[in-house]
Amino acid sequence: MLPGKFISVIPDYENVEGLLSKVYEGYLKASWRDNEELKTGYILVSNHEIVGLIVEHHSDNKVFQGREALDEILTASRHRKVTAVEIYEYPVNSIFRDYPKARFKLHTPPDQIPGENLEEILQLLKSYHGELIVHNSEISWSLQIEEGRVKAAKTIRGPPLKGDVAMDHLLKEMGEIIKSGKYEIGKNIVFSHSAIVKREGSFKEILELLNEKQKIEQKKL
Amino acid sequence: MFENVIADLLRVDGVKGVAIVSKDGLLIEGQASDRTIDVESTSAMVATIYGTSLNVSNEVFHEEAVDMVTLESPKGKIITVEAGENAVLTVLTDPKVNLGLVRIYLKRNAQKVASML
Repeated sequence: MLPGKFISVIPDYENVEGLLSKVYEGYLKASWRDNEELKTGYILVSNHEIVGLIVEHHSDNKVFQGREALDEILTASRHRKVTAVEIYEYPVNSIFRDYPKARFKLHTPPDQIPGENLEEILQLLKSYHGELIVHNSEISWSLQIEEGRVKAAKTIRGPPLKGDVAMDHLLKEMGEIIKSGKYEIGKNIVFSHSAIVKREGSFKEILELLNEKQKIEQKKL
Repeated sequence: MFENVIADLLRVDGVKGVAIVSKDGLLIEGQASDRTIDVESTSAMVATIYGTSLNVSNEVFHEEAVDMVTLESPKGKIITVEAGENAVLTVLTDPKVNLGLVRIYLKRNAQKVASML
């Protein structure tokens, strides 16, 4: 349990980004059940930015810090296990003295990523929320991404396609995109209901497979 | 919904069970680290104790308000506070628990429950 001045509890929070504006120096705290096991996560904040992560397991007092804590927090968030978030004020450097491995910086993506740079795009997907634009020579796709999952998709250049049809087309073009395409960070835009993708995880799965293939081929060289 | 409150209180040394109970005796949410504790049936009894305490306070002090109800036995304690208009927050503890610390955490978390209900 971390020390700190309790500010408020936000029930039914929407997303972490909205909460960051409410705390300048301190942390967000939330507890959730994972298969009946109680866990508590702390997102350390400084200057309204995430600077550290800690997760505690109540059953065995195990503590996970930094990147180790990220997966647990993302999983809890993805499965909507967290319902209420508490806001505390406290100097985070004092917390880092007791939890030095808790330091963590959210990945700040470059504006454009070459199509062949699969590691970079997979890194981005771990924590990115927003629009991702994928280009090849003739077609561009706009994807709404939430923590690695494609929630909606449509083409914005080339034949007009939406939803799973747009995704299928994108996945077929991945070879070309790796050779000569690129990814671009977009602005947050609103997608229509017809653009919703059912197979949300397919894009990340294909990228992971292609990344593995790329690594094997590079080793052979 | 109240995992934050339950986790906070169960972390206090000596606290074995936590329950958020409606004033008519229904368990809203609860958990015990000691599996021998039946949180659901304890909740009904806690609501009864709290309701009776309110009546006594009203009768004796002409004040229908109770800050805290504490039941002490050789095998443990049950401490209950109001958590908003419609609920109470209660903890079950070991007999030698740090009462001062428990009370601080109990009151703090009762405010959280009240703001969330």
